[in-house]
Amino acid sequence: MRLKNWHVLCVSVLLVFTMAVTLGCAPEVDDEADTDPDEEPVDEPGEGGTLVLGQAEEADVLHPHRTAAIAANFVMAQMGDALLTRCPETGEIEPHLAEEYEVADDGKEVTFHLREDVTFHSGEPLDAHAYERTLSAVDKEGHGQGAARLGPLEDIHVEDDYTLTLTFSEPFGPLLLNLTSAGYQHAMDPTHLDEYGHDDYGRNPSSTGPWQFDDWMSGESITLTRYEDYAWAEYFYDNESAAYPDEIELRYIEEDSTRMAALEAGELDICSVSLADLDTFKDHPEFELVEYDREGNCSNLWFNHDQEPLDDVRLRRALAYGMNKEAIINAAIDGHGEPAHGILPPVMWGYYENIEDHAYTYQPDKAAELLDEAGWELPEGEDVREKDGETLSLTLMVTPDQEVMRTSEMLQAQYRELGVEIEIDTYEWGTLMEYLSEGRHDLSIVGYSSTDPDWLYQIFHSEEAGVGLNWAFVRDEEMDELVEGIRYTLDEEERREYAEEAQIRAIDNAHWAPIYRSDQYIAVHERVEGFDVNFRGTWLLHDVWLTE
Amino acid sequence: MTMEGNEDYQQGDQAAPDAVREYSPAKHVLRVFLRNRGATVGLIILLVLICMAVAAPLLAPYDPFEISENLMEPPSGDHLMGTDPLGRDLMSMIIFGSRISLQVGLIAVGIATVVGTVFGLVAGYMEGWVDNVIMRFMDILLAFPGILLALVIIAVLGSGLFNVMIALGIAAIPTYTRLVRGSTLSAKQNEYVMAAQAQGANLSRLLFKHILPNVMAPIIVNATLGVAGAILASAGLSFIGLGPSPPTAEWGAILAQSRQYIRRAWWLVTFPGMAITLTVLSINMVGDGLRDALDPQLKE
Repeated sequence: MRLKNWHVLCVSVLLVFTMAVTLGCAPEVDDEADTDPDEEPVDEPGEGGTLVLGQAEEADVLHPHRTAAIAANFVMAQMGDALLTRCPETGEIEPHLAEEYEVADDGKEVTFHLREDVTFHSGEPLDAHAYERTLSAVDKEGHGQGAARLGPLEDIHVEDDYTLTLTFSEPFGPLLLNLTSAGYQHAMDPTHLDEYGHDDYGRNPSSTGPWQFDDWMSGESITLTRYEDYAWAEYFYDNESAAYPDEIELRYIEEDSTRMAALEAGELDICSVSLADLDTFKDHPEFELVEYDREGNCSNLWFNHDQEPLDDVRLRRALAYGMNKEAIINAAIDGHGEPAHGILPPVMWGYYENIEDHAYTYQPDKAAELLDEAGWELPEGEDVREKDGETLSLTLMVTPDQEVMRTSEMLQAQYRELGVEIEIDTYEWGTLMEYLSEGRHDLSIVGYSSTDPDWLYQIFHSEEAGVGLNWAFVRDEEMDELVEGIRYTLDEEERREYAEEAQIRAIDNAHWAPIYRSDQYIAVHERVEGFDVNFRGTWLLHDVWLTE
Repeated sequence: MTMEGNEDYQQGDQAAPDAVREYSPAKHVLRVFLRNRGATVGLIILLVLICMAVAAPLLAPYDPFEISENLMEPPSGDHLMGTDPLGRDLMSMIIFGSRISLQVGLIAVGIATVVGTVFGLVAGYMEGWVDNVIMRFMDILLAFPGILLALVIIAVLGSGLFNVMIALGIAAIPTYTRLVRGSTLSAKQNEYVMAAQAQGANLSRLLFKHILPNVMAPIIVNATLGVAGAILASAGLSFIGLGPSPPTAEWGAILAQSRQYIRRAWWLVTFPGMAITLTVLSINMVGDGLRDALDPQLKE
């Protein structure tokens, strides 16, 4: 059988050009088409409908003590409530399921008085016994954030049906803030724990929140249905009873461009916007963009202090001076961000305002000087520096995320100018975490989001090296003292001082080289009313209703 | 004594007058091939690509890995195919990428052809338990789709250009083994093979001097088409992040890096996509033409 080669050629070339032309003429949005000037705005919230939320990452398991995934926390936060909550504008801690709480003078005991009208999705009342059951299930080995955020918890004592006392071996600074997490600190329904046990609870969760778990299609979506008896919304919501829509569907679409295409096509109601597509949704007649500050840096270069040659602070400083953050921001995130100078973000409590005075600015000459000083010299006619016959070649381990890859390649090019060779190795997140814990890397790029300067303990305390998140393998006694001060002090001013000193020390010793914080945007479809975010970008969904 | 007859024939062939030489199989193949317009066009495109790969440093207007401040510029006089998100010249990247693609295609197919042919010859000639062992092993390899097998091999060896070539090579071995075995089974029935056997030729001489030249035609056709398949597969593997580590001008990798911008920068995906399409298409057309030209049944 003989192919008609000419035809194949013509059809293929035509196909390629058609594709080019179609893509070149990306849909021009007609501003006039979809807006009807006579349409009356609808003010009264209406019930019904399915609210579709677009998500990039899927939850792993919906058990608060067995996950550290932001995606899982998001789902659990819709299904659960926390003992405390935060003011959406100021971040102040306010009561929620615990109507009142007292902290003992030594800071080691905290007593909570629970609301008495709260029930689980199964109809069982939420009381101190249920909380005791949830908290005693804390599995410190499980690396779940629910457990990690309870710090040195020693004992849980039920005073009466609605009073609960937690005892700690040390005063635990970030406790109250940690207890505002409706996801990681939701109360687990005892009837579900009886029925499914801890191993299967993660796929059959039940708690006290406005949404109850309904269905999970792996790789596709999670569906939550309205909990009709819900009447204990956080104080800042207008809606005090059950949520308005019938269902929430969390739709998981990993690929950025696919997710953005689905959003633009109107398949998603609310979704974070990838910065590469920001221009599509700016001034789009069907979408409103909500901007917020992320409580964390999106991109940081982690140095492995355990590996030669990065155990030499001069080398770390040289790499920090050799980094052109502005150029990276332009290439990696289209210019939609700002350089990060310190480890913590300005929006977080405890941020040191003058950190910029300590920060490294782009000074390639200074970087080259430091490298020379450290003995890494550039031989005549060579591209890579050498010392005692070894070339200066470093391994950068990252995830294949596109933003991270662009940042990595920019750094690779910038460091090549300095005579430093960077080899980029990509791994899936799970594998990367394992390798970073084992310290196989020289460098890595990892972003984070956190709520409290206690984060500095998790990333810089020597005891967290190899087991926790101290993937920089910082082993510095003075730093240990400072971050212990942050963790185990209750006095706000004292904590703040510790936090500030720790931030300065981390930058002076170049434990990390912070790169950037990107702008964060959420696109909300015009059929969605009542959506808001709090000061740190948490989605506030309880007032949301659908106009169609 | 073993090969005298054959050598005599070759000598005779070389000494033959011009009129006789016109009927040489090579010329005949070339003539049939060139008469096929599709194949000729394919060959021309392929030759251009090969020249591009060889002369990449001379042809590329810029250093393909040099970042600049001209981020994502559409095609213009300065950058004929535009620039990528890091400000690198796309045309230079694509020109350098042709080296990687052709290298992957040729080496992967080289591995598969050499190993597959040896196995096929041995299995076909020896028959019996040797044949059984080899072919059952090939059946196991064939039980997995080629790309899945390549993925498994990369998972074991790690990602990277070299491992991609090995993986694609191994994944293609069974095809060649089966092909060569079949041809060998029929070729070994020929009288000249029996004659060589009777004269006491050893195994390697029999396989490589007498049988191999007579089973070459399908190998050539299959290998040519295989190069296209390997280039496509390696682009696919690079696309999902299993190819060479950055900075790389691999076409599949360029596509993967560009996919986030597919909606606003058409040139980023169009040109690497065209490069892959044209290469694969041209090789397929050449392979197709070769098949027709080498098919003894189509001889006039």
